[in-house]
Amino acid sequence: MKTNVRCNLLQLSNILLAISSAFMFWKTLSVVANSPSPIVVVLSGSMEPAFQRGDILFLWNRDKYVDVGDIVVYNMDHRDIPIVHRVLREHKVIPTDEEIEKFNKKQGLKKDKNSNLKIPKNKKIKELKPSQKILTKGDNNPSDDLPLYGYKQMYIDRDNDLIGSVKGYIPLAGYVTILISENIYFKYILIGLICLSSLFSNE
Amino acid sequence: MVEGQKKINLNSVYDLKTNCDDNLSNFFESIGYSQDFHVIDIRLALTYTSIFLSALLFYLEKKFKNDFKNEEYYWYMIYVIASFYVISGINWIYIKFVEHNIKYMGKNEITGDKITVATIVEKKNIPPTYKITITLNDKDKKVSSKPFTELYEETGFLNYDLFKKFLNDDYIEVLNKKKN
Repeated sequence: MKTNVRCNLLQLSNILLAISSAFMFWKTLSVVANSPSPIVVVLSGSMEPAFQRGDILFLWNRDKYVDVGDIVVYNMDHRDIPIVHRVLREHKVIPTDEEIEKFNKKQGLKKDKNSNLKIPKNKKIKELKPSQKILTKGDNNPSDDLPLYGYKQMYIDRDNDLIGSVKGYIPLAGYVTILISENIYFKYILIGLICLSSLFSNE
Repeated sequence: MVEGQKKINLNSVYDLKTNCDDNLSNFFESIGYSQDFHVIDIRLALTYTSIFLSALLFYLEKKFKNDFKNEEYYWYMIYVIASFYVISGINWIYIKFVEHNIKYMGKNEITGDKITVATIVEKKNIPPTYKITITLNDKDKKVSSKPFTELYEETGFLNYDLFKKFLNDDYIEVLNKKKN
């Protein structure tokens, strides 16, 4: 009996370990690329002829700024699908010393004699960092993305909205995901095939 | 056909070997050994620790809504991923060098003898052979092999009597070595 329990546990662990290794690999990729979703599939034709629907893109999110002409993937809070478009214009916002001082005063921070900031312990402080504002456009779209952004929003923010910029791609390799999500018959055929194959495999 | 034997697919060497490995404990139990599980227990513990770590990361992902700008979440992720790789590495080393094909470990309560059985398949031989290494008290060793075509009947059942005799001959030889 004892052997049996261990055998079953070992068999179960094989399946679970395969799933968790895949998940961990994905997470490792995410951390290395600093992107919550380092691999995405193109869902729309708005970047044709550069990217077709179904292309798989590899993203990298560790560059401080993106350049005009880069293809970036961004995610707006009010939209559930990330968008792949090209950077049309960019504007770096680098705060001056005065602005930083003003910002720190607002938070109640003071300077000591050597003009270093006195940071009270156990208190979270915000830092005024340089940021970058971006305007994007799909290569295949007649106009820029302003209508896609939120109400009265004129740009997207590099740190807050970007998932990454495209560094590589495999053409059409992700088309299966589009088929699954858009073609209901394909989904059922696929599930049927999986069931059939499990019937005819071992035992 | 022996009672309690399963029908095995004769074309799958993996199944043939696994079935033989499963029957090792039957034989050694019949000659007074009780199985020692600590090798497999350590492996199970290591494997389930790494599974737990990935489940933990999945929970954290849901809790922090996968927000990479949250530094707390970011560092949690790095710690959990790093420990996952460390544990997986230890597990790999353990399977490769410590467990190393050991399929049965047992102890005889009366004589105090410790027995270790490691098995592999020699695939280069045609037909493939079942190679078995019996070690008594970590000293006396006996290696022998037998083709699966002899161990199994054409109907796909293990010829348990022959299997038993095969093991018994080896076991007696090891015992004799110990006495000398």
